[in-house]
Amino acid sequence: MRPGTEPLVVVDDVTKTYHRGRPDEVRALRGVSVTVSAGEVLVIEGPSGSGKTSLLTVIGCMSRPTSGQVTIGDRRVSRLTESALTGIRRSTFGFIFQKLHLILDLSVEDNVMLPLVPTGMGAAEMKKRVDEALRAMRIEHRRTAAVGRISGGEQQRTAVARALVNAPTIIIADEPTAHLDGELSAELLAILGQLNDEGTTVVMATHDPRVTAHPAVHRRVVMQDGRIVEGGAG
Amino acid sequence: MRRHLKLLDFALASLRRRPLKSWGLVVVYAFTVAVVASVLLLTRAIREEAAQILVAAPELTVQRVVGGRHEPIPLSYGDAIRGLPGVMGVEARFWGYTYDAVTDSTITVMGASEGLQGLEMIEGRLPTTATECAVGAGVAEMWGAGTGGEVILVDAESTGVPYEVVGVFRAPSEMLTNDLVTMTSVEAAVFLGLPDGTATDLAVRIANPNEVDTVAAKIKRAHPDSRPITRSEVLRTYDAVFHWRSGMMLAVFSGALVAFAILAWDKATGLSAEERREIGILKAIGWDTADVLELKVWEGLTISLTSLMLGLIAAMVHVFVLGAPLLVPVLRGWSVLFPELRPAPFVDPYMLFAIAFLTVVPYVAATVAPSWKAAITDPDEVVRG
Repeated sequence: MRPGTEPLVVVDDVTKTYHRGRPDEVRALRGVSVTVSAGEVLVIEGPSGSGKTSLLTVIGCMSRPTSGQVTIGDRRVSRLTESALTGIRRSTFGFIFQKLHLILDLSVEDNVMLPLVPTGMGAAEMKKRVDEALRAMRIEHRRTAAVGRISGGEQQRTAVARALVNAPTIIIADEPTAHLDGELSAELLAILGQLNDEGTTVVMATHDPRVTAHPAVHRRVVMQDGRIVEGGAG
Repeated sequence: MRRHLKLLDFALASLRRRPLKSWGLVVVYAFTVAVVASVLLLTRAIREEAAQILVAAPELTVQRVVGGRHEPIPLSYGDAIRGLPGVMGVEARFWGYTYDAVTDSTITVMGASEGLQGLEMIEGRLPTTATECAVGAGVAEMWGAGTGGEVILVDAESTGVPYEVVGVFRAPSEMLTNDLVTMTSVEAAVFLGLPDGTATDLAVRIANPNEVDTVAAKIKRAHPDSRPITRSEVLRTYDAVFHWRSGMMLAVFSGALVAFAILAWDKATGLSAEERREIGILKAIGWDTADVLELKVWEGLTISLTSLMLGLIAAMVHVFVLGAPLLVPVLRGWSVLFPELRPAPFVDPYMLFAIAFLTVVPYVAATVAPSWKAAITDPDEVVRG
């Protein structure tokens, strides 16, 4: 899918400091500005400690910036309450974590269902959504298996299915191929490309050249020491 | 509503995922509830029994105290008391204790020529001659001595005296009559070594219950060495004794309670790295802090209410069905021959509420507090972790 011109996420001069005022203070983001357009696949590159994950968490409303503005759609989210941020996270984003972060003793379908549990959605609608996500990830046949007992590739697909189940506008993926072999990486990138074709915006942090070189990627920005050093302009 | 049900469903699934921890907590928790509830239920049952016994007791009992000791009371005191206004009748009572070394039992011996109020003969009759006695059901069972049999009791001179058993009796409350042997009043006085013209105490019947204290004061004035004891005073003493005993028992079990508290606190508050990680994942994928806390409240309520129910059921079976075999020896330690106790099932709602409040609320609080600390953490920590 070709990205639109309308900005979906605007990050404006954002800083993020952890443990502020303490000896172990970390300035993870130092005045970062970036825009993500609707339908875009954006890759954030950079070495470890460059601020990629911090930028993802700020974009994904998992943490508030120390200063600066973040706008999702037409909503400024930088100073919203925790509850409001949760609402946006739930309705707008799907997350794929580097370590997958699945609950190993829950079944595949229960893991996929997790984001829907607190929404109050009806059982039939919930089942329909879970079925669709499992089918899209071709993991339907393993739905009752405990996640701890399935293969790494199946776990990866379960994590993606969980990210899709709430029909997100934006998928945030943090080092999604870090622990995958070449075949599984290619499979995951193909899935993300397919999701993008269907209209989902994708923001990925990675230092994997296979990801950067993938044809589905529209744009890349490079970070170093908490700053964008290449490709920052939206 | 659907959201709450879904969270409850997920909480139950979470507990099922950790069966060892969940059931371990339930077992220890239920045991603690069962111990506390058993003590409270049994104490109340015994106090009810005591109150039942005293219904048949005289409004006023008069003893004689010399040098701080209980001494036999002259029958002439009874004649004087009988003449006081409001007194309907005075009955001399002859009673005391004897020890049976063979069964290691303390037996109550009582003169009962005219019968005893509330006694029900199971077989035979009350004694009418000096060589006869009737025994309570517990005594008959322990000695294997039914009607027609013979028992030997050690009198005040330490001499074994044979008696023919002519009857076996019981009473609505088995608390006292089960270790009781009755004989004629004259024989009881001789057996217990009471001096001629004296009794153990005097039972005074009073026409108007409101005048009991007035009559008691008059008796005390007329006979300064007498000690009038009203029924309400005895009841208060029983109450105090059993309250004290239950308090002692709870104190003895306080070690177990503290151990439970430590275990519960440790299990409930010691969020494992896995649980902390799970909370982080839930937050990251769109759960609110309130959702996480509700999940933990459901988990805590499920554990604590299940344990409470199981503990209460165990306590009721222990006390009301089995007769509290684990606690009775302590709570009724004044007698060696224990009457069999079958207290009527009675549950005090206030007691239930107290047990529930003292166990469920602290447990749920102990479960939620650490989860709250984990749940207010920014979800980005899990992503970074």
